[in-house]
Amino acid sequence: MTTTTTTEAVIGAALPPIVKEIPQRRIDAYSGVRPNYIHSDEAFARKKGFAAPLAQAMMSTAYVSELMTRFVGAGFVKGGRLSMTFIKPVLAGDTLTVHGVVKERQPEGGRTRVTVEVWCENQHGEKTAVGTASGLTD
Amino acid sequence: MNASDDSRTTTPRHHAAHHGGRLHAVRPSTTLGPTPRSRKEPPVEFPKLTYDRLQVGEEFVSDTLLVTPEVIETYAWAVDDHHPWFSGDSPFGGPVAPPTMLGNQALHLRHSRYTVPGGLHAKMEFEFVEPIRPGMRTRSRGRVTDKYERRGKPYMVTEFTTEDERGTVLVRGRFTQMLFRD
Repeated sequence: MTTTTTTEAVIGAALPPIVKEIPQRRIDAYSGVRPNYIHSDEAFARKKGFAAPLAQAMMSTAYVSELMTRFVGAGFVKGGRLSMTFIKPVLAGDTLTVHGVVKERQPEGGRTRVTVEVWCENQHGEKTAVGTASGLTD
Repeated sequence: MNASDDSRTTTPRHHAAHHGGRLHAVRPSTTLGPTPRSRKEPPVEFPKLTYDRLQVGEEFVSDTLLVTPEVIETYAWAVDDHHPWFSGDSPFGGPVAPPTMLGNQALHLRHSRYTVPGGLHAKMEFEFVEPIRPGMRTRSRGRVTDKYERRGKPYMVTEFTTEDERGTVLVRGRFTQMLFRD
């Protein structure tokens, strides 16, 4: 798997986006299924004001993790950091596109920590999660 | 969830800046130690989690999870991420799990003591310290570090570490959850 070297991590460079379809079955596999649970119980989700069960917000951190592991490789699996704020619910059946733009490079222990601004957008172009992620490159 | 109404969510914070690279609030351990509920402890009664009942400083410990290839495969399928390192060789020697895979072990810590009426996840911070590997037996420990109300909604903040059976820290972080009142 190709990973990034310091020279490739140019500030302002956009990472190849990832597109994720999120059917209920994958939410079930992620979160489990039980009654009175906003991730699997449609009636409960509606009672709480949502049109459908919600994908667990943590799934978006997994998508960003995938983006970063593709980008920096081992330096994300060991030494990576991720900070996200969840600003809009993701519903079962939504499609998210995960974006990243290189924001900063800082020396760290003889390597370079590359920080990426990351965000997820739904099929309506609305941001659902925003944050930063970083990993170490050689 | 509209976590944008939480002004403290707008600035990402790295642990190193605030904690010298380590989340000090979570009790370290050298081994997995005894099961969380020893013979001296009463049975867990699982009261309903309410904002008033929750105490800042309260600590939680998860049960252990054996990381099997099936656990990794299920997670990878759930998030549709089939990186070859999850099932084959990796730069770490053998397969590794997706770095975020144990997030729910930490996020569900409060369920070890309470019946939780539900809530929404507002913020998540991870620091991936060591790779998660199949065969590890992992446990998460957490401490409630803050609770507050914003626009009429109650929130709780938990710092956590996730360790393997030798006490090696694999992941640490912090998360903010909004509580449903009922």
